[in-house]
Amino acid sequence: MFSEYGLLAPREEPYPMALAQIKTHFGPQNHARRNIFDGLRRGVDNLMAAGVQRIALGGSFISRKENPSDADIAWWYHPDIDWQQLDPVFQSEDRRAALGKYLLDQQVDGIQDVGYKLSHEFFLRSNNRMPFGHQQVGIVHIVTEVTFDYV
Amino acid sequence: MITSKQQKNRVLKQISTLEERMAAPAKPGVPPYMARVSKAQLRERIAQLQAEVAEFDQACQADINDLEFENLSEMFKLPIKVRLATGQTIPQFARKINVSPSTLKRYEALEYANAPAEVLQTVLKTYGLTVSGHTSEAA
Repeated sequence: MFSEYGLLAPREEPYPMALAQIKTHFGPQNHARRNIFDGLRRGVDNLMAAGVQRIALGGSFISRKENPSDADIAWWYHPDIDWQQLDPVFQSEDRRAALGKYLLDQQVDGIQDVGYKLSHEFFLRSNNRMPFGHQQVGIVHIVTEVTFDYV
Repeated sequence: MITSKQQKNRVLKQISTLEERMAAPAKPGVPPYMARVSKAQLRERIAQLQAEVAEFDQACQADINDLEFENLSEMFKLPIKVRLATGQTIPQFARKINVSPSTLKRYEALEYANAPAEVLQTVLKTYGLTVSGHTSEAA
């Protein structure tokens, strides 16, 4: 499931995972990871309750890195989102708002009329700090329920 | 941090795709303030990537006798900056500090957070360097 650099192995489709699975695979190892998972869970609960239908998770939280500092997500605009219910930190021009409240480095996708390759979700699929040949990484789609496991 | 020209070029390409997205109009029906939020996020992301490119460029031109760091994670990056400042490839630098190129790649990928303390000492000794600093109360 992980490359020799500790990154989630890339594949065409993101790994669909429910929060419970994300917790099992990436959340319990230490205090930092438990904290980040707690923020992720609260943030995702709010996004989903407001009608966000697609949330991608990437970055070091879903790697083997022992002490990641946050979780990186891309969430997608949808016409049915209830903006009153959506936490104002996700509607702030300052990304630090969601970082402070949920430990989420987040960005909204689907606002501009552009192709997938210009999305933040696509951006999460590569890690340019890795050596050549190891820069593609897997990402997770956060879903409400999954029917199979990866282990 | 960026540790090679190949990585730098990929980051520059990312910056241009982000700029392309910023210039694109919002979809019909998107609340105007969310269009502003998205642009602000993109601007911040671009600035972050530009800072990384600048850090790489500065490291490539740095004087190894005058490298500065403000915290522990920056101190861990010193070997990368020494390699870049002396214009060495991964295999050349690996030979100098007596580790395999694949090990060195792993160290650099994690900015030496996974390297034993002896490695930093070896780098300092090999290049005749010493470090100094002070502690301060955490914010």
